[in-house]
Amino acid sequence: MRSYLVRRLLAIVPTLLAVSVVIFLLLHSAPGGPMAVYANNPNVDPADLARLEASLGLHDPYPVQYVKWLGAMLTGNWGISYKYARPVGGILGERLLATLQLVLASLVIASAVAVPVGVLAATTRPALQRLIGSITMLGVSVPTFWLGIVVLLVFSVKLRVLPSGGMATIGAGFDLADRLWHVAGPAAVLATLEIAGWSRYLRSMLLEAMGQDYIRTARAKGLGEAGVILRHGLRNALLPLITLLGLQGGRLVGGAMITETVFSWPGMGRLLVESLAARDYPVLMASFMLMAVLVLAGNLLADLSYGVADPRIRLD
Amino acid sequence: MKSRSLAISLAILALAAIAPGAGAQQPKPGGQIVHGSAQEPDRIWGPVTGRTVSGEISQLVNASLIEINDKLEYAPSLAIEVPTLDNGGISKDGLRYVFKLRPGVKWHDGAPFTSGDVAFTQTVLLNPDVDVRGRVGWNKIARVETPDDTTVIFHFSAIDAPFLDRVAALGILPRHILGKLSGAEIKAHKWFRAPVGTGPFVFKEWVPGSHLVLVKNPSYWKPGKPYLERIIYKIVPDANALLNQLETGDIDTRLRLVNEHVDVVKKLPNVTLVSTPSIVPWLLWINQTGPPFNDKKVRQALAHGLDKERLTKTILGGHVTPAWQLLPPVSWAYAPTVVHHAFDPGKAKALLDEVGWKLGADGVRARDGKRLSFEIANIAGEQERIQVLSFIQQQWKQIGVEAKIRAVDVGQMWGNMLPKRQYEMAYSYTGRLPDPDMSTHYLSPELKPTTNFAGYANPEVDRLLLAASGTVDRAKRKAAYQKVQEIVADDAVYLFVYWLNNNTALNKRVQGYKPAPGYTEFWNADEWWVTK
Repeated sequence: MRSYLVRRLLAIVPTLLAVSVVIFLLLHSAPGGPMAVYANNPNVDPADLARLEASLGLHDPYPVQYVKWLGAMLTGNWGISYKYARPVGGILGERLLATLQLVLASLVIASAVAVPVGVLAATTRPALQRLIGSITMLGVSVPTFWLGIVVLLVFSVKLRVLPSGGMATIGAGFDLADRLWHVAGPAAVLATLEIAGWSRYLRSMLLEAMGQDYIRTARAKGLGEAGVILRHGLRNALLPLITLLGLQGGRLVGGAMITETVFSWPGMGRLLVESLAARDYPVLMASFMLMAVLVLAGNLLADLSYGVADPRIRLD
Repeated sequence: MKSRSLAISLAILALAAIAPGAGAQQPKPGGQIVHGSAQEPDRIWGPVTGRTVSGEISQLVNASLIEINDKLEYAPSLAIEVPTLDNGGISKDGLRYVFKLRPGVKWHDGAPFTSGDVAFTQTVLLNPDVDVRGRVGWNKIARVETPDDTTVIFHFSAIDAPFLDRVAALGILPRHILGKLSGAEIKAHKWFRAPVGTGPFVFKEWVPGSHLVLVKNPSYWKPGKPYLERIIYKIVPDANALLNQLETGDIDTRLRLVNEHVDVVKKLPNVTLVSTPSIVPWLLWINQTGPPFNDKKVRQALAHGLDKERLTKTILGGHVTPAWQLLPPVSWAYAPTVVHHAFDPGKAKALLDEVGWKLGADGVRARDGKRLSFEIANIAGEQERIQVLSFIQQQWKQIGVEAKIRAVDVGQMWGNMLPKRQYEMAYSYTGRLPDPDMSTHYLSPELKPTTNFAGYANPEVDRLLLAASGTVDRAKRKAAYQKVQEIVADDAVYLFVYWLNNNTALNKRVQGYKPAPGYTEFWNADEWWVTK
């Protein structure tokens, strides 16, 4: 187990390096650059643009810029945002916290709804199974931005039961009920896709599990059908969901950007979009690296928890 | 005595009767508004950002020596009067500007505002370690003199005719906070995220991604102002969400609505819409450094082939007016008589025939085996732009011209294609200052204009523009600019399409808003008030 962990952790290093090179090249080869937006500004002349680019080190050759960035990153210096002239770490910290709240809330909703729906979809009458199947298919297909707009129109504009956006009532101070009220809409929208996807996954895993020998054994022991499904079937069917959860790591940073924009949620996804528009390289590099780390860490955690959850799997 | 006071009372009554929406309503102090903005400021001082939103907050917190009002005129602010040739504030040779400062003004932290702050601000603009975006104009100042606490004298090495525009856009920096710091320390200083100013509103907090809070400055130099107790500047990145929030009353004010939202907002019972033409035109940039657009007749033909009246009435819903030149009708140098290459497809076809572009079998004109076909670069993402360009495309097809729309991103357009003239035609609006100087767009490329993306070169225009920006005599400048407008209109250098409208939505409880064409909508925010 320990040697497995060491091997996996060591493998992360070259992966991250490769990711950083690819992202660096992609960002820098996109046309324009951070100062391009000022070309339409009558107060800024080409000499000013050249001076600003030089002061940001953008006139260095790419390898020099990359090595400078890597060296700073390794010493814990994530750079200064071009746009905000503030250390990147602080900016990411604020936004990450907001996204974390949103994604956690959506995971809670998704888990709470997806498991019963999945079980029902696998075990109920065929007609009802087909109905659930159609509804979840709809849930997978509906675009997030559209769902978000509809939720806002119905629950905020027409019914006035949900806030029209944001993370908290402005000027109200911290209030848990207020926070939950604000997170409900975006978290539900974000959870829709998970609920639909996970429950379909769970259904097929459960159907497969219910055909196994141990289920027959459990039934032969005289266990009730509910006990068979929940204690023997479901526990085995849940295993693949661990992998799905592990993959959520990357979403912490980038995946919620559409929902965040529609619901004015001050999170990472929006920061990423705005930083892309401004070509704010330090923020972008740090965000993408963070995303890569979270994806890798999520995968590793998923693999490790497999070993714990399933005694047949031994990591060494 | 009695009759005089009666006359005054009558005059006041008459004024009250004609003032729109006035009547019994007196401005009432107190209350707050929530302003909705799709964009978030980056740093709250104009010279280090260039973003409109940052300039807006800066305007509320951080006063300037003078301001620009709703008629594009200069008005006093921290200076007690606007320097002119007539009042002696500007010297005859145009190389010296004297500003008399308002005595007794205090920074929000209580420190006195003095001429030293103004002089210090100018040193920051030129400090090589501070990442000021543009220094155009400021680098012509030879020295700044502060003979006493309320007098500032700018001495120029060369005339900078639009100088007052720059002064109006410049928030003064507090020397007592930043004065002893190095350039690098100033650049990273928290003042730019939490400014201490002299303006009508005091900066209170900024929650990134969410909102900013500004509160009333109790010791503002205008007695009794501002009326509002608080302005919340709320960041709502999605345009539809902004519309929803106008309807629910979660936001009270919203600037620069896109045209397609104008009709929606007009139907909201709780919202007033104020639409005024801005000084910013939408245009087609035409690269005339090579064929086919180096031929002025081809450019004129394209202009004749476009029905701007119909475009603005149909696609743009009649909310905007066609544009024919760079200067807006509200500008003091506007030339009303320039030639309009108005819609006339017959003339367009004749012009193209005349210069050898003959109609081919495929319906597209050609000359020497080359088809009259080109790309219009357009920044992707806005439906309205595509609609406008499709309209233009269809119209030009009628005269045998093939235009293809090419989607590009902001960086590509402004970083590469336009500045390096690596394009054929491109669609965008163009940034303008209130001053009518047109050197940016029409000076020959070797004189290094900032935005002559057309590559247009005309010695006569150069001579007129340099003469106009080399004097502060408004009559002489006006004559030169009118001549320039006539020449470039005839040359069809750019194809202007329509005037960008400033569409402002206001909840009906908000009073006192006066539209400003120069992108300075908050210029009179100290006079805004709310009914409840």
